[in-house]
Amino acid sequence: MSNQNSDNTEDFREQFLEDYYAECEEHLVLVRRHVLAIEAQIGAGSIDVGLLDELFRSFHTIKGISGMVGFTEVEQLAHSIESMLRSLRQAELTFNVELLDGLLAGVALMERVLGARQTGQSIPSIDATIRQLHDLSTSAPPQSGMAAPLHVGSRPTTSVRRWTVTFTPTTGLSERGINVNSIRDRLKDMGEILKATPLVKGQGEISFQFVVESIVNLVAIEDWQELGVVVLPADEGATDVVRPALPASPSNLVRVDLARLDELMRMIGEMVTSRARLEEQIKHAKRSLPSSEWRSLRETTQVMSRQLRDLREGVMRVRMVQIGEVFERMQFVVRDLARESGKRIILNVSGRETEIDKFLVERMMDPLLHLVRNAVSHGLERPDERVAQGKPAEGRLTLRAMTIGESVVIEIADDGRGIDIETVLDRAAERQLLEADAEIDNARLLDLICQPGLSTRLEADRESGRGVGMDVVKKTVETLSGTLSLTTERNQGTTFRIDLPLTLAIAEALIVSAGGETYAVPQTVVREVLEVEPSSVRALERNEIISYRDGVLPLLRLSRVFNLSGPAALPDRPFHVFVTGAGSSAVGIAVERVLGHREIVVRGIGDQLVQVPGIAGATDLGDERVVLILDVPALRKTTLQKSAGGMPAAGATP
Amino acid sequence: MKTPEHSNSGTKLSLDIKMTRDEGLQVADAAGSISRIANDVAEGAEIQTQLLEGATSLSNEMTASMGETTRQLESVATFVEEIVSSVNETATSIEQVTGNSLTLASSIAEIATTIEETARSVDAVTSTAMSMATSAEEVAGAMTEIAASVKSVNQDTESLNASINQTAVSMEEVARSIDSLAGSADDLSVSAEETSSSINEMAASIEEVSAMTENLSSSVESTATAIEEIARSVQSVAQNAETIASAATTSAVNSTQMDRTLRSVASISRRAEEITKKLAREAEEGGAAAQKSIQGLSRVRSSMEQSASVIREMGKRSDEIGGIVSTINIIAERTNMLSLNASIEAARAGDAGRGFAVVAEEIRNLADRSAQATADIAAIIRSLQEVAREAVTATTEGVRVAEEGNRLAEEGSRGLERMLAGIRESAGFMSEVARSTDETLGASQALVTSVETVATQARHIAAATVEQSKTAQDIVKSTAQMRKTAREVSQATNEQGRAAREVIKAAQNTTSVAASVRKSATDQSTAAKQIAQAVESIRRGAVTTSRAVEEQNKAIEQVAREAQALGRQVGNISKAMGEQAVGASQVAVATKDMRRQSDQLSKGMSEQTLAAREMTAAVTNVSKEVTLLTRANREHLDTAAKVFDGIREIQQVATQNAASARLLNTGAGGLTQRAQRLAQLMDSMETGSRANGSAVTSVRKKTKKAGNTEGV
Amino acid sequence: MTEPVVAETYVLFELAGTAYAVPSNMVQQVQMVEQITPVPNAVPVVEGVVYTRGRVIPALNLRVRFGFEKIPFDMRSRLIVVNVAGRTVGLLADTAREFVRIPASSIEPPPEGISGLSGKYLQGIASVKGRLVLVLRLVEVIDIGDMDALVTEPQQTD
Repeated sequence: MSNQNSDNTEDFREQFLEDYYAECEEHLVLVRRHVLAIEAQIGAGSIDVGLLDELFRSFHTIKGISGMVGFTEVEQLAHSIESMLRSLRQAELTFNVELLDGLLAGVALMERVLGARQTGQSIPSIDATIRQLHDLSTSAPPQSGMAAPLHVGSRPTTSVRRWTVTFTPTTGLSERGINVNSIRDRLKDMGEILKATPLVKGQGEISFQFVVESIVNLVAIEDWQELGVVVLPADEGATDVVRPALPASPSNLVRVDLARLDELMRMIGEMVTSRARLEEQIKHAKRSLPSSEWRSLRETTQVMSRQLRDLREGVMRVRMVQIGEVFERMQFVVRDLARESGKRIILNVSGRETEIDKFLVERMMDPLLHLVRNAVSHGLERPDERVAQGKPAEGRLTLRAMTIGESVVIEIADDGRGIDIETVLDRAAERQLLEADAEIDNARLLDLICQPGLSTRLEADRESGRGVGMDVVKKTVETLSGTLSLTTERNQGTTFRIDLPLTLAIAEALIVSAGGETYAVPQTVVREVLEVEPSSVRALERNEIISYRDGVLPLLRLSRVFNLSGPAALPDRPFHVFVTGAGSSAVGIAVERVLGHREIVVRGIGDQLVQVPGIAGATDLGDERVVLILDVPALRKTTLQKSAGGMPAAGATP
Repeated sequence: MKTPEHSNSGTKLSLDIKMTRDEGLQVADAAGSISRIANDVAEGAEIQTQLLEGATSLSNEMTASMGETTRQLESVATFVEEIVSSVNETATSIEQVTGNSLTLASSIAEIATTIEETARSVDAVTSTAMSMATSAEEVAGAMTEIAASVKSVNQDTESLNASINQTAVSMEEVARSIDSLAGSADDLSVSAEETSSSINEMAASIEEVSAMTENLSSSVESTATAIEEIARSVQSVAQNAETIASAATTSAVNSTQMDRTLRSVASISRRAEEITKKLAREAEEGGAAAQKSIQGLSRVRSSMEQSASVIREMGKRSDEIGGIVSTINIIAERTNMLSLNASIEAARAGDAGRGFAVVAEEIRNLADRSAQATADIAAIIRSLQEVAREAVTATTEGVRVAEEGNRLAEEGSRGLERMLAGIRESAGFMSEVARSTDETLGASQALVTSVETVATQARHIAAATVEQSKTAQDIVKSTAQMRKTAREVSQATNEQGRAAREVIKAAQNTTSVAASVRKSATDQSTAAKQIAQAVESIRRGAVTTSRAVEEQNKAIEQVAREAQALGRQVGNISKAMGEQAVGASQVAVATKDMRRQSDQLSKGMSEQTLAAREMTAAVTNVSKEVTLLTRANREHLDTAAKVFDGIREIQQVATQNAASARLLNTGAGGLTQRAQRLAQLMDSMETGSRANGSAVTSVRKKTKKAGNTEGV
Repeated sequence: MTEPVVAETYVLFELAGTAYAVPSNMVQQVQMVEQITPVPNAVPVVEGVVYTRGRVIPALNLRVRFGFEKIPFDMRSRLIVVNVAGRTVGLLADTAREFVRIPASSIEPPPEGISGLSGKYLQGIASVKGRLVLVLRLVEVIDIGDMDALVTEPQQTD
């Protein structure tokens, strides 16, 4: 909601501040990455000075721009860290874990201060950290401490090494969003690609070979194996050419206001809707046009469809960022928590290249952090407990992200103790949220723990002071039209899975009418559409069934579920049913009429006021009228929960 | 006969001859007077002949006319039948009208309660309708008068018929008299023949004087008898003439009565003519008024249609304006909303948006003012539309009613036209009636005159015959004397003188009688002719009157119909006016008047129903009478034919008698001469009685010669 | 976005004859009431959802919210789209046509024991051009907590 192009100093300042924040963020992203890299190198023995240089440059810049805007705290912090890094570079310091912690603490504080500045909250005190950093910087000369002193590799200047990176794509990798392009991008971030060649191995296998020059010790990066990458030092030897820094400064990058991208996406969404309408109209026009003209018209629209798809994907890509950003932040959190709690945790991260819409990133940051904190605080046991159970002492926390179709899936899994179902049930019974002895499955359990105020231990989060609880996690996910699911097993662990549709979700949908209103049903859940005579409907206890294939199909009348008035309530004319689910879990949802199918733009209905069961979202059919999208899984649950006795029951089908 | 003493006988003979001579002179005198009378008779016969000629031709005419009369009476009978049925219809219609007029009265009462104000043209129509109602009333009144006139005409016609009957009776009597006259004339003719044979005998007997004396005596006897017979005939003629005279007087009286009757009919007809003329005038006025009202209604209707279409246009316009107003309203709402959003954005822009905010504020004010104005306009539009809707309904109704009124007025006008035509026709008939009654009057006057003439002549005849009777008596006396003398003569002389005397007398008698007869017959003929003429006139008059009556009835019926229709139309117009009129007190008053009038009309119609019924009866009677008349006329026709034939016969006989009379006259003249000569001879016989034998013989010879010569 | 406390410009709207004011910088835009899609089993306050500027937002019926009788929508009815506390919702009012400046000083705090609107919705009362205007606290107005429980169980009973 900011005004652009204003000559007012106030506005100019605001604009400048925005730029400032963005630049700080960019640098902090780099910082985090580099710190992680250095952390990796702590174990490897020597630290790449280049990384230190990068860090130094980043903080130097931060110091400078913070001074310009008058944020003295940030300036001071940056200065302190800068000093420390200088000392490190000059090998006056040994990079050890302490230093790393101090560095991390400083970065964390800096983030907090920036956050406070942005939201106008009170600025935390930086004195303690500055003192700490100072202490660290001026500490005793290197002493052999806990870890082997890091050897700063000798080089007059930053040495650039050459690597041969071979990447073999597999279907599994590509499912996770890891393909040659993502590998290439990553390599570009780290260095310069001198050469790229495809290789054909035996059995038709193709792999890609990059020759990369980088100051980063590529070998030391842990997860190459997971990425299907083999890194070998190239034999050509390192040159002493001082490579220019990674293109961190945004010279050929364009900073775009997210709001503008939202606008772009909205426009594209409307274009998709218009295109769908155009297609329908062309179908109708077939009757009145000569066939040759009509065919060429259709061809043109098909071309336009393709172009629109490309455009959509292009804009979406513009909005995309790697989820790695989120994961990196989490790593710091995990580290802090682990240390606090005295637990030992191994963090596995995969799919950090998974691209996710920046909008989603912003919204999901807090919920994901919450889940991670929960996993560390409550899920994972202390080492001794674990050993007693026969588990390795280090708890494993896995952060996984992947793209599946039009959704991005994020998993946070731990191998801890699992959710204490008994306690949850007791608490729930206390608050009369369910009957005693009720059957409970993972879905129900998730519902319960997401009830506000239910879980006591889970609410001990004061970290960010934003009052995030499981209910907020659930609501946020739902607001983003996503789904949250849970798998837990006693003593084995807990996995939270979040499915998020990418922002501009386009789906084929069945358009139906019921009770005088129009609804959309995602085509993917529809198996079949039937026309049913009212006379063929039989009643069975409180349910209605029709014969279907070799068995019966339970019916769910949409008009009843939604308490609609109108003829669909009890029609004496034939009505339509669309079948969802398969086999014994098939359910037929009865509507008045199936009107056709259309490509629709799926929009979430953001506000909690309209989060009702059975409605998954909304779309418009081009005439500014909202058409609600049915949440078929939720509707199916309605029938299945009512099933009794001879009815075919089924498990939760998300 | 033997002559006892010649000497004595000679003196006696000379005495006798002297006496005979004296007698002979007397006879000559008598013969002379007879001759004179015979002249008179001949003249009279001449006149009679002429009269008979006239009578013949008149009879022809009469026959022809009567034939026509029959035909016309037949048609009249038919017409009258039609009249009867029409009158019945009229009576029924009148009854219906009575009922309708009652309904009308109640309808008008209803209408009167819903009357509202009226337009000017409606007033004109109102007054016109009022005058039409007045005219209708007057027509009804006139009808009543006419009916009365017709009634009196019927009465007069009846009197006329009675007179005609009586005249017919008189005509029969006349015929009979003529018959008897004819009979008398025949007798006369026989007598004349006998006389001529007597003359022959006389001539023959002159030779045989002596022988003749006896014959003479017997001849004289027979002559005397004959004369007595003649005297009797004459008497009967005289009686007949008396009868005729009295009949003629009666006819004269009847004719006078008829004349009076006709006069009254004439005057009535003239009055009726005046009335119908007046009626025609009024009907014309009514027609003119109806025309004006039609025009007025047409104007009303067209102006109403105009109004209706104007109002519909207005309704359409106001609907359009209403649509525009609501569009403006929507725009005003949107403008307000947009300016509000603009103000919101301007506020967000802070100082930079201040100017914009001011503009937005002004736009909002404008939009609000516009909204207010359009709200006002919308209210006005709504009321306009309401008014237009009402007006459209009212004027559509008004157009319908005006059209109805127009149609009714046109019907009324047409009815008036028809009525007018009927009235004009009626007036024409009335004029004809007046004219024909005048003619009839003249004819009857002529009839009166001629009847009087007949009477006079009959009296003449009677006097004449009385004279003749007296003369006849004298003759009888003389004859007796003569007989005696002749006997004596025959004793003494021969019978020629006697015979001659008697012959002459007889001839004279015959001549005079014949002449009288002829005269009277001629007179009769004239009278009959005149009577026939009069009858013809009467008949014509009767026919005309009948026709007039029939036409009258037709006209009356027509007028009645038209008046009835008019009354209906007036009623309808009143109804239409009642619907159309809006609140004029005039209309209300008029309606009250009309109610009154319609009540009166109801009453009048009820009376008319009765009158019509009476009229029906009267006309039925007329019909019957006419039938009888027709029949009687036919009989008259036959009778007249017979009369005509009779008259012709009489004419023939009279001509013959006239001729015979002339001959007799001539003969009588000759006889006179001879008688004188005989007397001379007697003188010479006296003196020359010695020369008796030879003189007698020569006389006998001469007489024989004369007789031979004259015995034709 | 800073929480407006001393914002001076307000948008006035009417409900059942009374005038209300909301800060104009919370108002995204005002639009006419056209298509509202009803949402099944939602609370009565939610009239339905509308599509505006590329987003689907709920439309709250303020009459229902404040306990007034519902009336049909017409040309004067307005949907006031507000951004409050990170949420975008539409508010349905009888009409909204005025934009006024109310200095913070002229807003009196709500008196004790005010009936009708509970105190927490009301920021204060001001007099604008001689008319009494109720200044609302939008955050409370659209707060879900007291809008009756959402219907969680779809009804499939006979």
